[in-house]
Amino acid sequence: MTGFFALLRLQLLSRYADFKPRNLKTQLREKKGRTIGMFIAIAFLVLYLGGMLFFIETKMIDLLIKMDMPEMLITMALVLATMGTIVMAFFFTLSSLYLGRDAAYLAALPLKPRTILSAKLTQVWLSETAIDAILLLPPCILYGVKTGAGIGFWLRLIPVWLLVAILPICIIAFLSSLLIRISALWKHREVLLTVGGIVLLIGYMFLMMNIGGITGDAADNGEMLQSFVTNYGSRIAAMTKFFPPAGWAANGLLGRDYPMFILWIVISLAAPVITVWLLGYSYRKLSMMQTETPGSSKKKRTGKESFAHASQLKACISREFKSILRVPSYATNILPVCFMPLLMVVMMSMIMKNTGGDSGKTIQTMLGALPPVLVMCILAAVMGYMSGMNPALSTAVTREGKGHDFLKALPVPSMTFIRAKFIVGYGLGMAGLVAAAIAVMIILPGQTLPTILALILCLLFCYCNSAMALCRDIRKPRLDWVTEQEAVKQNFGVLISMLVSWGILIALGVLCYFLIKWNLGMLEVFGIVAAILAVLCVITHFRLVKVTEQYYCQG
Amino acid sequence: MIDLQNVTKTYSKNKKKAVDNLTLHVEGGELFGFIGPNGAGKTTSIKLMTGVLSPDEGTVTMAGHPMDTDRLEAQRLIGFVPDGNDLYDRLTGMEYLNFMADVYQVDSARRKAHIEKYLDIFELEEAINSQVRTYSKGMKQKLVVIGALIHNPPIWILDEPLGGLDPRAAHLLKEEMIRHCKEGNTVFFSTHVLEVAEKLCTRIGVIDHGTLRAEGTLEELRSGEKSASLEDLFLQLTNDGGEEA
Repeated sequence: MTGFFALLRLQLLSRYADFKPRNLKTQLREKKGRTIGMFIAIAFLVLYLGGMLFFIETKMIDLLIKMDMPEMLITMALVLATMGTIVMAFFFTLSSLYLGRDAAYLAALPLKPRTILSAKLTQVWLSETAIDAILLLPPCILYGVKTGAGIGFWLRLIPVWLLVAILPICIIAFLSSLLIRISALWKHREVLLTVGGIVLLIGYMFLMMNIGGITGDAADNGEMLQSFVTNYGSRIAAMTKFFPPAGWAANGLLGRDYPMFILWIVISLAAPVITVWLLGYSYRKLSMMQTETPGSSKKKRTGKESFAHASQLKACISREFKSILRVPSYATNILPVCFMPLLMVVMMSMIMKNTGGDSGKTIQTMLGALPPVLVMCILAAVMGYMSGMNPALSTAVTREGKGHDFLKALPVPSMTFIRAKFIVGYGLGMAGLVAAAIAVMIILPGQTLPTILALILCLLFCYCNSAMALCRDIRKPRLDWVTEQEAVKQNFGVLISMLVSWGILIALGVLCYFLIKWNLGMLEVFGIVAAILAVLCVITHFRLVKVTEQYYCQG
Repeated sequence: MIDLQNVTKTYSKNKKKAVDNLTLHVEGGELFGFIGPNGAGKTTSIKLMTGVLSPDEGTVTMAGHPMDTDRLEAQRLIGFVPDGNDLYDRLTGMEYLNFMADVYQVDSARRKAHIEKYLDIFELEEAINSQVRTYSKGMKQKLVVIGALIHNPPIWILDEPLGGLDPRAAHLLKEEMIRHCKEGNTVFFSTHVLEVAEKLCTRIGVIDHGTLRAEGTLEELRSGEKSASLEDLFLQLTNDGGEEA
């Protein structure tokens, strides 16, 4: 057990090193502004998201109590926590078990493969349990307080919270092992991981939108809540049928079905033991497989087409694009920019169509009743909001990592590198916006002109955002990362760029509000906002050129 | 070919001069070895030569092209092999070489000839269409060397080029370096392997604490002590400073 605890400690220390008091002190001393800024941003996000969640849950529990169905909140919270763990912990588990750079190092230590596996799975469980404290505990506490639950509920809540992540993690561990085993046979193994990740992301989004749509409606209107209970109560029930342990835990927590609750506890405790025992046999072999060259019996020799000539810009664009496509962490974080707006439009229309179907309100009729200027502003706001989340540019220089110095040694004008990064990043954002606009035009045939105008505004807005995000990353890139996940996910610049873009969007929203209030028509509002955005584009463009000369060219 | 005049570079983080008033001149046809303890300023000097860093004071000139005013032209003349080779792991070897050829604007016929020649020399043909991350350390180093030489540059700047190479590949690279110099070109390389510097170089520079302690042919460095090895000279020249800077 000494090896297990030593390894667990090592894993936790390396993962959460930034939060160690001693390291925090050093960071505060060396990078005061950045550290304080990071904490302000984290506090803001926690307060903003937590507050929003708490507000929705408070409204929901009040309405559910009125409907005499408060236990629905518990079931929903458990389903969300379970599904959230399955999706969110997937990459964490996969990278921790099989894609970490420590595989060879750990394999050389006098530790049993099962000890390594246990320590890694325990680390995942601890992290997921901490996340569940945010996702699961607040609605359960709200339920307990509002319904005056007895001591039994509070006592049962402890094992539910501690054990809820275990079964999903064990399932993920088996799926990861299977995926690694299959991908090891294939030369382009990263494609499998990328596609798998994106499919999971889309599935999770669909689930969240299904349930998120409900909560928004439920918070506003008692009639809608009735619709929610009848329409979505069955969906929640279907989800618990799909994954019965979530239902057993919910029923057990509510004191309804003790035998199944005890069975759930026993299964949750036994599952990790079985998982470690079964996967332990092949763990060392599988973890080392990823460090080996993929098997390929017939290597392609250099062909004539291999030597095609391209311009410097084209070469840089190609390199930039390939690096995004081939690194699963980059692909799963950056490529959603291309399809997320389209997906959101399609899903929203599907969900609104479903909910509106009962009350005779469809999205077409709802938007048809609004003045075109408002439709244009709503579409621009929705698409602009989504285009604000583009890590392709806010991590463009950071992703160079250790290769940054090498690139600077090449006889390529700095502006060419930056232009390539901008073209790729903006191109991805633009593709997403155009696809979303086409989808809107198909779904809302009567709203073609407002959609086209909204698209133009969004393309201008996206240009400003992209230039600003890139400026920030040129000025303060984080090049000392070890894993690609750190470069694209644990990056303060992504958060800053997103908040700045939303800030501009809010300012434009306020402006549009007054313009509409002053009875200006669609074309007038479009003209004014487009002119402002065009000026912003020019300013940010020149700023980008200046920042490139000032920071990217300098040693 | 390579000319550094009173070059000084201070890193803002620790306010320490990584390179202090460095003056160095390497002619065409010379094979110059740059040696020094860890943290002596070798890599910083190379970064200054290749335009990765700008000096705080002094000038860097490559074949008459000042690095501060004519950086791109100066860089075009250099083939640079950096220390460490964690570059573009997700590209295939061929994609990496094509990227380098595009960057240096090497036309299809020339790049084909160069790539095929060096792939053959370094025995890398079988792996060239696999992703770089699947390469061994030595294979990565061979790839980086091929990429640096793809445009047949007159100046080679190599930071620890022999690290990770197998004896055969190391021998071939050394042969290439000698051949390149014989054609009137310049090779500047840093190394920790004193025997290599001793056998290969026409001139040697010893740097310590950012300052050039000695420079010249092996005979000039010995200055009369004919029996002294480069190792003895190195220890003598660098024994007054700390190890890590």
